[in-house]
Amino acid sequence: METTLLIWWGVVALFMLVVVWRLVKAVSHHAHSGRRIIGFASEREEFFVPGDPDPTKVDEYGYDDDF
Amino acid sequence: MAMTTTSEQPVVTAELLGTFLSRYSSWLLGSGATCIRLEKNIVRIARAYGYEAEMTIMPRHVHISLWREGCDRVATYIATVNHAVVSFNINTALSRLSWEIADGKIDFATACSRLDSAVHGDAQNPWLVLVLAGFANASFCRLFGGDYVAMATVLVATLCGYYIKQLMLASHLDIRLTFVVCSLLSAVLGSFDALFGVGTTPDIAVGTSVLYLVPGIPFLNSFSDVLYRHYLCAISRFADALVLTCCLSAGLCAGMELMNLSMF
Repeated sequence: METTLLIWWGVVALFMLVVVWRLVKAVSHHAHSGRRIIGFASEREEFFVPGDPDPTKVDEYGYDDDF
Repeated sequence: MAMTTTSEQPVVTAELLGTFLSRYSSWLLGSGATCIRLEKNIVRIARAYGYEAEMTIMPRHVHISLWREGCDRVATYIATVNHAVVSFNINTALSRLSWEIADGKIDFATACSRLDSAVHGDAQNPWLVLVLAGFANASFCRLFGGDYVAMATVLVATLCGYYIKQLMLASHLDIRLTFVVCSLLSAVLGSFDALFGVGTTPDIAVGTSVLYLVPGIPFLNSFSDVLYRHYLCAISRFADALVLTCCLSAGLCAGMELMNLSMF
């Protein structure tokens, strides 16, 4: 019975390991892409609407010169 | 695009139509359509452009011959079946496309772009599919007489197994290995009730925890192919489904063995 329990917990631990690994990988990828959940951002990023140009690829030079 | 026009409708060359039909049949058959559906759709499209079509459907290739009535020139095209995942969205979109062509609602250029958007625009949300598969399998558990504890166990076992299945298939790992691993994982997790002594139907929980892996569509398609005497495709599909079922069973048996659960 103990061996069975051990195997069961082992399988659960292995699955959790895969999930955590995927999570870390996703967070790491997210962090490297330059998108932050909380932080200081430009106006363009604040009011980003799906379909707008990628804020990370936009040349912000002279963006708000008129204001 | 080399097309000439008549007073009635544009005339598409056999070369263009053959290339289009090759891609069409490759995607339609690869997305889980039956042979009879492929035959009907191809003939429907070919006749809309003034051609007659005959085809040979093999498990991995499709030969399509096109000719005009009264003309002795025949053009034959061979397409390799695209091995994509089964998708009813693509099936529906491609069948709808064939009717739109047959009804003269769209021209050939639009049909080509529709084909592209149909096969590349099938973006299903994997998380939604995962959750729906989990609830569907939990419902199966209920249908087989499982109690609510068993349903919850099956839900979790399915979510975990299906998640691993998505990961492994996305990594282009062998589908047979994927089935063994997923059924093993789901069977082990599904034995929670039996192991910890909760619920009144632990056997049903284990049995139904792997049902999401049953290759139902290949089995049904092979039966349909037998009915319409496409025996080669029927045998091929049946063999594929049988191999996957064996892999599923191997994982289930291994999981039950590991959990010290008797089968009978």
